[in-house]
Amino acid sequence: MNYPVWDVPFLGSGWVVGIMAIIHIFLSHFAVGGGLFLPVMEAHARKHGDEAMLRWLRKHARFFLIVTGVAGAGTGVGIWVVIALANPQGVGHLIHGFVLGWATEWIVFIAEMACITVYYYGWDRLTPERHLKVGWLYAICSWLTLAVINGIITFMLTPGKGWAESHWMWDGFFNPTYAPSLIMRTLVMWALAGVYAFWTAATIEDLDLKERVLQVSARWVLPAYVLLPLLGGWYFLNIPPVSREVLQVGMAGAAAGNFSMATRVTMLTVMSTATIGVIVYFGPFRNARAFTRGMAGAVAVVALLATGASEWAREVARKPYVIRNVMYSNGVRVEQVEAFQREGYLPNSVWAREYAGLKGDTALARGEALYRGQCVACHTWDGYRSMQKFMAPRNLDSARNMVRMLRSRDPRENIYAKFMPPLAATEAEGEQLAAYLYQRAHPGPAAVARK
Amino acid sequence: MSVHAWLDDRIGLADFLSFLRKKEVPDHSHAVWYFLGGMTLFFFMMQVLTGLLLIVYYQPGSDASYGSVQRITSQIEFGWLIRSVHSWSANLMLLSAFFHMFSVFFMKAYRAPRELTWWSGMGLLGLGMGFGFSGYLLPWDQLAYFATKIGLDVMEKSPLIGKELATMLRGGADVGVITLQRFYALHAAVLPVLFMPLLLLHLWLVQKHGNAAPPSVTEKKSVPFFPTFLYKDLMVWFLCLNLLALLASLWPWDLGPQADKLASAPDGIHPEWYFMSQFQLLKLIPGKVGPVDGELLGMGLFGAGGVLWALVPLWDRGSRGRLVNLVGLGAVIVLIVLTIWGYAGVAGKG
Repeated sequence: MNYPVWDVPFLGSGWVVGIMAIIHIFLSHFAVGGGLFLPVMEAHARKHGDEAMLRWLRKHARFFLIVTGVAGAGTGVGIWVVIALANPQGVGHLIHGFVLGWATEWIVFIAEMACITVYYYGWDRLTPERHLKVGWLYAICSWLTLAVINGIITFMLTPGKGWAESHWMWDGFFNPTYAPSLIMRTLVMWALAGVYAFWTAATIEDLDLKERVLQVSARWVLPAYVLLPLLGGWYFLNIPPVSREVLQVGMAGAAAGNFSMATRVTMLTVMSTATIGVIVYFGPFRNARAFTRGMAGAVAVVALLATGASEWAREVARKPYVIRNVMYSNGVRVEQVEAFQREGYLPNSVWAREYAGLKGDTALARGEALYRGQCVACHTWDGYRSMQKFMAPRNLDSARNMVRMLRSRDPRENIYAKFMPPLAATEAEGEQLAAYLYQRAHPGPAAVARK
Repeated sequence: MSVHAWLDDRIGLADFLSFLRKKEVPDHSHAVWYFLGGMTLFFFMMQVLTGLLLIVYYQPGSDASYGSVQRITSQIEFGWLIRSVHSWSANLMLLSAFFHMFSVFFMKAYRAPRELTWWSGMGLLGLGMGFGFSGYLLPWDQLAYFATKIGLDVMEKSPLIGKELATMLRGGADVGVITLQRFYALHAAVLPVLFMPLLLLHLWLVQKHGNAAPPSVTEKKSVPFFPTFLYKDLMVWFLCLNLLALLASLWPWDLGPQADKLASAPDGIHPEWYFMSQFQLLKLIPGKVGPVDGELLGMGLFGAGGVLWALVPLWDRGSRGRLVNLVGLGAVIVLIVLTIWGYAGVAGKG
């Protein structure tokens, strides 16, 4: 529209964001959970004069610094790059709407980085009391980064009635899913702190110490298992009714196999989480001495799967919006749809108009510009959500009918209305889009003429 | 009386547990490969379990087969899941069996006194591929029909009994309802009858001789089978179950249009991945190589390679470790290259 389109072949820009985000979340959750783990364990070790555990903690802190400070922070920057390319309109809206939030986020993040650096390099330079205080400060700063970003992420799914009426930042920030999401994520982060500790503790040679560390680390996983089902229910009750319906209908249809991808992924989250629970109980908790790094790696992989699946399900629950009731996933604002359907998409879209012009401004070129502007955010031509596959069995009339249907926002007229943005274009532009899609799926000079 | 004591009185549970505790598994840097045998066994058990459930609803016959699989997939509750788990676990079973075979080969675990363990394992792999080939036809959809047709054509070119075997399986000039009936009998009756005793023999031999450490490992370290190794094995099984659930729910097994003998073969038709290397080799060899039929030569080469591979316990006398490694490496490279080449050749054609 007002920005260029980032067309990623086969994978789609959404998946590039998704892959980057899942890796970042897996690392950054460790940064917060592990941030509490370090001072708690240090306080415990100092209280009991456990020098062996302190030596291990020092090694673990190094691992922690590298994983969170290098890989975690690096992928955080990566997310900014890819989301700005994939959905500049959405990012622009969030930046303008939460200026104070972003400023706070960056300040606490810098404080967090400073604290962990001082914490690691201060093992021999600071007094034990001061060193521990730096650890606690790190824990607070890292949790604050979560508390701030959680407000913005949950706003995208549930802006809430308060914000819809006032458009006041804090109404959007403390939205209906803010509290359940914050508590859930905090518990998951504690659990991940334990999971990451397995990795460094698995190779401890002193078997008594190994057993102690692994059993304590396993206990960090426990609160998540006790409380997550309850918190999940609370979160579920606060997500939009349409998203709830998708999951509920999916559950009902699971036996017949016709349930939604969101339901499948949610079930996978439950299954992989349960797997971690069983493995942690029988592994580091009950058989700590036999626990190996390979097993720790396997637990981490399943935890990554659980993280990825739950984040993916959350993203899908937001469909067809990038910010619910504000902006669709293709960057078109909800209030723009009517004007675009009346006046046209191309007259209102600088980049799309220019693109069509560069291609000769033919009907097919305008159709292509429309495809890039409104479809490419979620579809690829021959890969993920393939348009080629979708269009191959259709003739031109079928393509026209489908495009016509997509203009409606009424689920009774448009079967995709709950998952896809409406086509924000005039009827004539819709014809051009249909012709382009048909032509591309059925290449040959006479494809349109034949029909 | 406790359950433990009750069982102990009747079946000697304490003796059994004591035996398990005494049993040891070598512990070294290559010990991770020991899990592959257990993984193959796990996927086989999943095959048996889901296979028994599928038999309840599956009906062989030109119309009945397709209709029953369609009903299993779309009407029977969780039928789609059972069928998908069955298909995915079949592929994963063969994949882990191949890895298991190569790990045994490179660790020289076929050397005396484990020759029979190696041969029984080879037999199980062959029967496993037979399960895959015969099961593939059963849904009787377009892809299954033409892939089987190609598979039998390839088999026909094999030297010695290839032609006779293909004719017997086909039950006529062309793949038809008789073929389907025979494949079903093979899949659900003949192969299990052959497989089960061989599997028991293999497991008994593994139990008798224990796991072999590779010759390069000189330090004799070990861990008790119970509970240490068993716990790890069960954890791996649990992870395998996760993998199966992931694949079956995100990529449920498809059912194409019903087989139509008069239709043209789908573009890019090819056999399953475990037959892809043979398929590609046959494509590469010209129709005639001198006076010899090209396809016959190709299958002959593959067959000879297979025999040489199976007989490794006889020609590796301990001093040929380096040669064995080179042969193994060569085989792995040839199989991988031909398989990738085969898929590259059919990519985008169906």
